[in-house]
Order: sequence, then structure tokens, then C-alpha cells
Amino acid sequence: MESLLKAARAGDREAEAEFFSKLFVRFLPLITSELQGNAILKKSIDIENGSREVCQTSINNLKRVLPISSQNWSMKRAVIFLHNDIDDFIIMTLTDLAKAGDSAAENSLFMMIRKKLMERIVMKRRRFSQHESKNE
Amino acid sequence: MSPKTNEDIVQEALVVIYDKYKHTEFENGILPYAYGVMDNLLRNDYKTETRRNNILSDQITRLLEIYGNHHSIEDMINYQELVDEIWEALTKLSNKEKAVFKLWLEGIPILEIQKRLDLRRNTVAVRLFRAIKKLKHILKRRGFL
Repeated sequence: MESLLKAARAGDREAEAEFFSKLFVRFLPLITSELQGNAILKKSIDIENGSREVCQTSINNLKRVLPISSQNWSMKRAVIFLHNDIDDFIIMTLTDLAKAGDSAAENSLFMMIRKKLMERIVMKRRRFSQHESKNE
Repeated sequence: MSPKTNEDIVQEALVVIYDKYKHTEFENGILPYAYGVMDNLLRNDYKTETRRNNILSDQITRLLEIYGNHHSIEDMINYQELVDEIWEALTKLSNKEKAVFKLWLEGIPILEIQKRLDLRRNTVAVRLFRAIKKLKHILKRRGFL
């Protein structure tokens, strides 16, 4: 994996394709277990297909937003990216279920949105106070 | 009067999102919409907080000018406890005192306040004196005067 990554970052297109297909294989079980961890999704959607869909979408997004040649590319960032895509998928699915009248999905949806908003507000406040102390 | 906590802002955002989500088609999903709602609330909170601090700075500046104290506003703003006490004292002013004090803080001369509130000059002066005395008392107690 490491040597593939090195070659891909050096511009080898074949190595890049192979690296991403290995990444797919590595990410898929992670996604499956995350989706299975959500009781509402487990009974409402086909987890296997859902996981494949999320994995493919996430890798496509990753290639587009954070190209492997970019200086910012790292496995850590790729994993963060993947987790955000999983959350997006779960939230989107829960939104559809909640809109259709599933109250358990609605509760779960708002708990997730709350968690996401808390993460964002903490980050924003931290950035703001850093900005303030720089100005001082 | 204290600034909103993260919990408060997130809760307000959730209320807005809950009201809307069933009847809205979110082009990019509900999450970017939720972030937008919360960012707006956060921006408004900063504005309110800045406005509040500016008003307070002006008030303290005016009081210090009157009583000839030379502490810097920055030093005083750091004393959140003092700030809270001053705000509390302002809420304790009677409505009559508040009406006069508010105009005076805006820099309106006593003669003009007298006309606007249809009061005698002495009445304006007495109400203003009492309001300032209360605030002065707090500053003194905290060792700033």
C-alpha cells in the first residue's frame, strides 16, 4: 500500500488506480460496520449495497477534492473524508425516513445533526478566539 | 445579558431546522442547510456581543471621565465580574432613572433631555445623579474609583 501510494503520488497512473481499488477494499468493511451500527438503517436499507455506494462515492469525491498529487494528501485526511461521507449518507437516509413519518429515524437524525453542529461550533469558536488573539 | 453558550445556539438552530425540514427539499442535503442556519445564529451572537461590549465601554469611559479615573478600558473589560455587576446595576435602575440615563448615554445634553421627557431641569439632574451614583458605588466597591 505504501509503495503504491508513493508511486501514485509520483504520477504513476496505474499505481494510482490500484491504490484506490485497494483503498476501496480497505474502506468497505469500515463503512459496513458503521452502517450496521445504526439500528434504524439496519432495518430500513440494504447495508451491503449502501456501503458499496458510499464507498464508491467517497472515493470519487476524494479524488476530486483532494487529489493524490496534492501536498495536503494524507491517509489521515482520507479517513476523515470517508467518515464525513458516511455521516452524510446516514443523515440523507434518515432525512428521507423521517420525512416519510418514521419518528425513530427523526430522533436519530436530529441527534446526528446536533452532534455535527456541536463539532462545528466548537471548531468555529476555537478559530475565532485564535483570530482574536492574533489581532491582539 | 450573558453571551449564548454553544448549547443555546445549537438548540436554536435545531428548532429552526425542525420547523422547516419536512416541507423543504434540500438540494445538497439537510446538513449544509443546518450549518448555514447555525452560522447565521453564531454571526448574530457575535454582533450582539460586540455591540454589548461597545456600549459598556462607552458607559465606563463616560463614568471614568466624570470621576477622573485613569484605568484603561481594556483593563476593566477583563473583569467580567465587574462588567456583569454594572449590567446588573443598570437593570436595577428605576424606569424613570433609566429613561434619563439612556438619553444621557447617547450624549444628549440635559436641556434636550428635559424637553424630550417634558421634565424640569432639576428632575433630570436628580435622576441622572441617582443613576450615576449607583454605578459609581459599584465601581468604588470593586476598587476602580
